[in-house]
Amino acid sequence: MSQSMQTLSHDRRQLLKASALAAAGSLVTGGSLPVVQADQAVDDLPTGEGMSWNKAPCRFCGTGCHVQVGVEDGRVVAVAGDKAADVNKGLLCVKGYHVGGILYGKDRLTEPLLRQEDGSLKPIEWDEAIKIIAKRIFDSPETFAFYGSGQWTIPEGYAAQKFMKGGLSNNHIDPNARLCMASAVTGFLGTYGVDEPAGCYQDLDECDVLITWGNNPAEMHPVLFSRVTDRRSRGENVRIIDIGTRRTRTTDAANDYLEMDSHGDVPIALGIMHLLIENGTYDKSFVEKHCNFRAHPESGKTLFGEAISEDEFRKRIAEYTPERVSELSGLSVEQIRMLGDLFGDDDVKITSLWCMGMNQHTMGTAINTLVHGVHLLSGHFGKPGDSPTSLTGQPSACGTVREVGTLAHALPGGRIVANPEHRQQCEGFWNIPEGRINATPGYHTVKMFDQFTIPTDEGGDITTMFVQVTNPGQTLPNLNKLFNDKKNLADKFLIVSDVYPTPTTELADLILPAAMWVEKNGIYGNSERRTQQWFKMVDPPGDARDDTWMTIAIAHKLFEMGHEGMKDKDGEFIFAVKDESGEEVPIWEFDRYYDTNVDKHLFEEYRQFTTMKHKNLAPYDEYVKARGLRWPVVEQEDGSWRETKFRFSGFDDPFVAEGEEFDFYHSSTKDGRAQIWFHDYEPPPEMPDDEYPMWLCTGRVLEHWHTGSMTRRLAPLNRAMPTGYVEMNMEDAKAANIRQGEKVIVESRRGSCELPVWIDGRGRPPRGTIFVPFFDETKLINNVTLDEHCPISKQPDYKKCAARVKKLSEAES
Amino acid sequence: MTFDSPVEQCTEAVETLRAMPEVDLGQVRDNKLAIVVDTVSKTQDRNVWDAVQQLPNVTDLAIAMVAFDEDKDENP
Repeated sequence: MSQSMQTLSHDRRQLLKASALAAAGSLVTGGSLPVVQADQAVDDLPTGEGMSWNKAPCRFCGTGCHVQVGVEDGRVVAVAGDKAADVNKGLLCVKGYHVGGILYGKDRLTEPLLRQEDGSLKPIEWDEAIKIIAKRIFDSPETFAFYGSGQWTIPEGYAAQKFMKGGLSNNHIDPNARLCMASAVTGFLGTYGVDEPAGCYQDLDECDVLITWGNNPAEMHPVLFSRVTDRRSRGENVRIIDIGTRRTRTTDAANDYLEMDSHGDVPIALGIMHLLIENGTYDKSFVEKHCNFRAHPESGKTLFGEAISEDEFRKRIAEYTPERVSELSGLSVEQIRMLGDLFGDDDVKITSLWCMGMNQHTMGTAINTLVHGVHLLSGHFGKPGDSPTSLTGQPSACGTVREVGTLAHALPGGRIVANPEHRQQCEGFWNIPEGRINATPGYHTVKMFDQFTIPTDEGGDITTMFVQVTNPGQTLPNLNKLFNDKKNLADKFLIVSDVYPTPTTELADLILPAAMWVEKNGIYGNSERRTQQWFKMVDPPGDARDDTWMTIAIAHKLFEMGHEGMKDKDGEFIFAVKDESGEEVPIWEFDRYYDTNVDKHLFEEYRQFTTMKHKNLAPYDEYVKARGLRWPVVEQEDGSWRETKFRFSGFDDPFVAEGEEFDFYHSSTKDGRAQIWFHDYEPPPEMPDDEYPMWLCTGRVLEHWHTGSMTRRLAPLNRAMPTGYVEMNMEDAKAANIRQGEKVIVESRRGSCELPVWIDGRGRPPRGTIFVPFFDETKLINNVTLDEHCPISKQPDYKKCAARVKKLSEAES
Repeated sequence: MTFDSPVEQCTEAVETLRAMPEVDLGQVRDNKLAIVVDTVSKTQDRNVWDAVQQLPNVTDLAIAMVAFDEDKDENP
């Protein structure tokens, strides 16, 4: 070991001890969670010979914490919270602290692997891999589908989007964000006419009351939650109201815990609006000036619905009395009245926070618009701390999926394929022939995998699928129907680019080894509209390569094969990059890929798309200098670039007309107003019954991110949370004679999963309910979950289905 | 660590903890005390855990963070 490494090891041990003490201290003083204070500024960090530090956003959740990455001898050897970052101010959670280690799991994929007839995998050269993919696409471009991710960087997603919609005239591209954020998107669109939160993380610093709607930020967004609990340690009063179906670590910090029945959030929101109207405590002036009322037409549900009068709204909302809401939601009448009184109080600032609980819901769009409606009706909107704010689960769900529009119906910058004017604009920016972009939306995620796993001769018209940067073999709902059926279909071809073997690569016909995080350049967009850039710092292992390169290399192979779609109007390659002398740089050759900054070229091209929906971005170089900038970012008279914290509010948003207090300038009713929706409560698609008597809810844990394919390679995190489990209520366990740690079978009408029981574990589910985290690939809970989805967002409901728990011995007998 | 009474009243347990070389004491609030345990082996880790759990007045131990000095790769 070198001297510098010894020093580093000692420093690291001390840093770990300090971190652990801070984490334990946070539990003691704040009732909060392990958030780790990186108490060294960049200048103080160890700098052994040849060691350098550079910024990057964390690879995990949508918070967008910045870390300082320490590199020595071509290897990431340390990370620290970045004190210069506004998002996390030097803090990291336990995952972020270990983010550097995700590069070094010993089973990294390092060479392309092709499945042989006997099922084995044979290493092949990249050239051959690219040829195989290009030939399959060339032979049948319309049956090809591209499945991506909110973990795609902005350039990765943009390249995939352009390749499919601008090159292949094929809209079968969708991301895994369909499974996590789609209802938030439709909720924003249905309410404001444009996607993404108006507020930002500053709301957490300024609210008097924080309401978590089926949301557990203490574990899922710990750094953000610590911004709230830290305020208490500074003597500030902030009231936390946790509305949920089970007690969590967020509940531990909450002043009020309102335990609702599954699906209870919809009637709760309706009940609050009822009380605001009944008590006359809604914000009359705000509603008169800035809002319309809306509902679905009788003919069926649509994203934008139809106008209803205020009288009609009053008539419909009158049905949702506290007594009826109590029956539907499980809350007491007093609790509902408490929420009604709270929103009727002008003197407090209220921030609502949500994530998967509201989004993974068969009424996902409805509950999103209803919570926006509660804030609009009460006037708790548009002031710092007074805002509805959704969180994202993936690092670029906003940037790559929502902004770049890597969805089956979308085009970059808020455009949609069904709109001829939007298609024309896109074709102009891409310099491709008019009419190239297909007007028919492609398959959304559930439909895409359904079509892929249905035999071709039975109408399954997706035959080749390319999966990048995600793990659908673990995350799709109802896996037996939507993924596992692929196994026996010889003519279906699955291509998977990933960094480690996963349940998805198990069924892949061709596996491509990918570069990850700081092994490549990247740009993410986080939950608060913040765009963050980083540079490549180390080389990927073996022959692993960038996902953007893969897309460009396939496109160029098709170009060489004469595919017309890979040419622009001038006959040039659609991804052509020229150097200063006008010579094309062969970026499809990997050893020339970093001759230029491909990310920068793609980002600057993409920037053109960002002004239509006022999501303006600054030039790439501005993001190099910053720890992210929140859009819209507009140029000032002095040439500097100014970010926007609060959209639609005259005091901060540069696009609100001078003198206006608020302006919903993308209103779907074209009158500058937001929409307050009414939705009738509908029961869940599947309810517990005699055969399957329990409600099953799935979700995440602090230590692991997404499917655990990265965090389970990290020894500290894996040892701290080594296995998936089922949380059970003590009384339910007693009644079934199930003991702590005993293995059981959780099963539904769709499949089963073997798990150890954690009675009254970290989360404490009430009687009749169980909770299972989905991070453990050895225990695929999504064999059990339901693929029913919201009719507008198409996002499946992972939060409730009917299940039963059997002792393993009983199941075997 | 959670005690059955305010930490300042649990003098015997706190003194014992203070005497343990593997243990550092951190913040105190009401019945709760933050500690860090730094050991050289899993066996020693287990011994400390058992000893701490058996101290008078201790009602609960919750783990806030686990870290390993030898950050070896570990596949699930």
